[in-house]
Amino acid sequence: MPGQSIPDHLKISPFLVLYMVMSMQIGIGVLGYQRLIVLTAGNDAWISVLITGGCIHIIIWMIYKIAETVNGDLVSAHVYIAGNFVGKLLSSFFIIYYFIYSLTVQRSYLEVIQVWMFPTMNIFWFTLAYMLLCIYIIYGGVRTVIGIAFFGIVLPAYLFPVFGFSLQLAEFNHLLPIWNNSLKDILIGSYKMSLTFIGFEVVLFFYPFIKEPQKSKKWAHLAILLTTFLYTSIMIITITYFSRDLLSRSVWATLTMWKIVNFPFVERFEYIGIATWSLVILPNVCMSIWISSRLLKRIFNLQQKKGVIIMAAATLIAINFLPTRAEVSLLNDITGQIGFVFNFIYIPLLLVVVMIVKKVKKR
Amino acid sequence: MKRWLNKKQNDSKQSKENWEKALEKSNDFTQSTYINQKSNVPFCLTFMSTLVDEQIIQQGVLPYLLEGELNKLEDIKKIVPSADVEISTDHTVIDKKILNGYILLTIDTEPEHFAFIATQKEIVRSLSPPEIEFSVIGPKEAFVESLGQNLNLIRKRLPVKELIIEEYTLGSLSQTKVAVLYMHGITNEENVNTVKQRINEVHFDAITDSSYIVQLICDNSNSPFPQLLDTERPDRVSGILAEGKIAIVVDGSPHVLITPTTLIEFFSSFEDYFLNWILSSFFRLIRVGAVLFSLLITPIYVAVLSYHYELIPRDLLGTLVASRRQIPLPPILEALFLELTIELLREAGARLPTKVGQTIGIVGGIVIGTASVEAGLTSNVLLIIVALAALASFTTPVYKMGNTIRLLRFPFLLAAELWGLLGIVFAFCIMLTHLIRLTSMGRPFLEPIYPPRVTDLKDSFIRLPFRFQSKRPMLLRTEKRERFSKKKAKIKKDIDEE
Amino acid sequence: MIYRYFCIVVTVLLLSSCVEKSIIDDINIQSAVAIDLADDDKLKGMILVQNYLPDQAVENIRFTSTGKIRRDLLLNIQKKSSQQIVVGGLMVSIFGDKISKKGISEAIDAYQRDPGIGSRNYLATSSGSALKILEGEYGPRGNGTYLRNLLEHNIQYRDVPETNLHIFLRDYNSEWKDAFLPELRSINNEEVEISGISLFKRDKEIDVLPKDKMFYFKLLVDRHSNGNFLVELGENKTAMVKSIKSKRKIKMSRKNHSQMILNIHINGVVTEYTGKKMSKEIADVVEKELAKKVNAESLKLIKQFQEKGVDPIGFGLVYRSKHRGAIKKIKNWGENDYKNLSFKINTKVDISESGVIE
Repeated sequence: MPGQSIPDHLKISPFLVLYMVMSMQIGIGVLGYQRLIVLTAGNDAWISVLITGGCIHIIIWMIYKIAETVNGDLVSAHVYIAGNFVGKLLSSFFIIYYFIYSLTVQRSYLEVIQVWMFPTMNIFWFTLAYMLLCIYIIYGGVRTVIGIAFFGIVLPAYLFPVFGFSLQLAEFNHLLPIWNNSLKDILIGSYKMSLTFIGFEVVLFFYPFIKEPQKSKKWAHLAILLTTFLYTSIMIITITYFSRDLLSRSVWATLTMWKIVNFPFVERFEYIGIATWSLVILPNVCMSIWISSRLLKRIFNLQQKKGVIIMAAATLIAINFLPTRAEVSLLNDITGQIGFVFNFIYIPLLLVVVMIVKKVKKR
Repeated sequence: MKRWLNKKQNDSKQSKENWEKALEKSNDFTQSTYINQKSNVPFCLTFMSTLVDEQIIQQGVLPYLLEGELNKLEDIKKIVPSADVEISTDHTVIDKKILNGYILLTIDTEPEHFAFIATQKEIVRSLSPPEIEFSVIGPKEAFVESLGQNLNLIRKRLPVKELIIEEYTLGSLSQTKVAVLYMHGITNEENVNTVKQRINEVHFDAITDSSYIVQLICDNSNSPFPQLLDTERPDRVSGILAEGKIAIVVDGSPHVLITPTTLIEFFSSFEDYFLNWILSSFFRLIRVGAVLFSLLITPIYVAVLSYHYELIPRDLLGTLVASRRQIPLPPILEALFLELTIELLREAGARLPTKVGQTIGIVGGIVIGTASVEAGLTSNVLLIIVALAALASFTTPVYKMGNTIRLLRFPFLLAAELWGLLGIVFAFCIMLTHLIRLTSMGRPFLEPIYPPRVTDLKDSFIRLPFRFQSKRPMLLRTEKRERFSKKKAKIKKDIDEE
Repeated sequence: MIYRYFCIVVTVLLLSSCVEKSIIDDINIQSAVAIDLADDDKLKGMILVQNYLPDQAVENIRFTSTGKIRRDLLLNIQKKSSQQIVVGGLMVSIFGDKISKKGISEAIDAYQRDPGIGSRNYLATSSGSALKILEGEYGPRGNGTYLRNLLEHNIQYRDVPETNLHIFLRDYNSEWKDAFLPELRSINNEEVEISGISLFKRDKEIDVLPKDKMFYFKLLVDRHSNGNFLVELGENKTAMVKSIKSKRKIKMSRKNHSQMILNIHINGVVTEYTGKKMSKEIADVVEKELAKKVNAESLKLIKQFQEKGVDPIGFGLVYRSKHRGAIKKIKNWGENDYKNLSFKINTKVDISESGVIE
């Protein structure tokens, strides 16, 4: 298959999959996912998080199964089941998906900046600078993209212990009684939680670039385990920290929790947190642009260098059409829903079809 | 046939005259004829008087030539007590040899043969203690400008047959000798080949120092970061060669290059290996902290004072506001003014003779600093910050890295002015990306941070004790990973046992 | 290539400089705010700005204005200020007694909405006009800093229960707990004191606890607290007990769901004793007396809350945590269950030392 043989020195070590998956999952959602879940699942929201985390382990297993069977990425899988033309047609949908994904992340972060830091921040100029940085990163190849993912996890890690400040004011009675809400509510919460969890499917696109992909499996699962732990612990801290009515009004609960943090040398921590968060969302944007440009290359044989510039330019133009919060949240919903359908419905379906085709081909 | 022979003879005469003509223009060109006392054979010596050692000629060459049995050119090998005597028929090398300090000896009877006798004048500076990488503990020798002397200093420390020295001549005009050193059987062949290939690809007319080589063979010449480590300490070179890296010694330069290198290596001083591992780890961490401090503190000042007043602790707010009350400039200009002043002081101090330089430093530091605060041009808080940042930038053991850090402060300042803290993080991301993309001889520059290699962390931010250093760095992909057998080194003793 | 483009972009960005600046010496940073009602039902407000002089002294600058809503008020004040007034440095906000009795929901909205206001701000009510408190001159470091330090050290080491903007907003926005705020009173132009605790039902001030009840209140509200307490032992002997570490736990009785059990554990030291000699026996007596007193006073307080229908201690949360689906019973809780609740208070006091003399 064209473009499938990747020289060994351009591949990434299997354990870097941990950072790849984690940094794609952790993004803009963490800043305010709690409200949506608590609105449906109440004080049992953390159970919803755990349920979703558990489900994702199954999906990751499926993703590896698909990738192993076709020995390649999603495009290979599509070509495998539906032939060259239809397969590529199917795959081209994901160019749009990842384009929207990067757009959503970028715009939502700008929304945060506009509300919390600089109300007069110019969307266009900031996006331009950000896109140039992304192009610079992606031009460095997969190793650089994953490198940014690595630093996007390691450097902002100091933000996690900071939640300890919120624990000082925690009211653990908020968590009781457990199973206060009906299973249905908790499951709806899980569904909403899946929007924050998506991103692990990047494995399906980076698969050909992983050295000894067999070994990377455990790292992918560990990544899911860690994000589940992270989301659950933040959720528990949030529930104990806020009263329910206050939480249902807090759009960015995580940011609100940082407001209580105070060090002798920093009075208000949330500004540092928001600034650091640009390092967290950078791999999100980079990886999704990388994927869409890679897909352009695989499907239309377009040079990836050009593809990256096209995607960046498209983001730069499209982001101007989303001026207010209403549009941003609409976009967020759409992305979440597509992501849900893709990850939790399409991938299992794909696995079934791939397995059937495999059997047929064997005969 | 005869015509052809004649023509050839003419040709040789012609070319002989050619080099003679070219060299004759210089006043130091000397040509004199003597007669051997035993066989009465006249012979002619040609040399450049500035390049040869007169003493050697007068004591070690001429007496033997005059008194020895000289009948044909071949005889001089017997009578001249010098190892470097060469007889050649190739007249194209004559000018090169003469210009390298050889004497050309010709006998009229054998016009097609030339003898060269080495009589180079070696002007060697005596060994002095290292000035840039001075250390209180450890050897007090530094490299000098002579290639031979420098190689001697290294060989002396690694007297094993595995140490390979390969010499190249670079520069169409300067004809600089460059030696590549590596340990056979330890250093990765691929790395050695990369270095050799890069050196062979150098096309430049005059290479006067090793820093030329740095810029000519580095992976990314558009990067502000130095990608080859240069050192003036022979002990460091030998230590690093043993680790499996490659050294490049350039004639005429007291700095030896080491490659491949990593970012972290620029923050380690070789003294770290002389101290106890706890102390050296502590100092290394301090150095890394100092670099981050130096890089970020002024930009943070600008960002916080221009945009994020909320961040300032309430008790500090009064001090900051009061110190800025009288100042007409916005924080960015204030900071740029002071940063540039410090740069000016450094530049002036570096260009002036040592004693005057020191005076300038004191005058600049104290007088200008105090005066500008009193005049209301800068705030005293910023003065402290900038001075501290400058101080911190001088803690990097490698001078070139210190320069880079001082330069990088300015883009960070601009970014801070643009978007405050966000701008600083943004600039940091750019720097990070650049560092991730950077390679040194094809090896990742940011190793062992990225790609993360836990085993290589043993000698990075911290330096673990030598017994943990039994393996060579993974970065180098050495052919022999073990430095020593860990089992043999391990001695287990119980309490009160011997 | 990319370098060149990047340089161009940076230059353009620098030139267009698209973010609003707030350079520290070109802004007026609010350090305290007082909001009250004017006679014509309009809001009346005062903003205190600390002006830091070059000789390290601090000058209080006050801006007063009226307006229909808070924003209106701020706009009017901006018109009086030579520099932009910003909210990020706020330390203390005081609500006057008129507005707190009428309801502070309007005034509090900005505190919920504006991300610029830090969560560690102190809110307080005042006995009398709120503006009067800011009009005094307290100490050399400025009124805002003074009031903040006053509240801070009283919360950390004395009898004021832990409070800040977040805690207030959390309780204010909760159906299962009611909010409270410390109350300030200006004594004269140079002195201000914490005069009690204002108890809120939703956004209205219902009651004010006097100073001497604050210790018990803190014991009940805070999970961990410390404070000072005077024990009278009869025969003109009194002992001052400083509680170093107190814990309280609220449980719902397993058998009887309409009974709450409060376990209070006080670890203290005797700091002053007017009798002759402090002995183990006397310490035992002090322990017993104190326990008795805490039991009685706490019960009195709780009964008082029950009568007024306020729940600043958060029995509602305990109730909710033991009842599945309690969310639907919220009305029932507020109207019936809370009023019918009975309480059992177990106090244990440990006196661990009595200073350097016996």
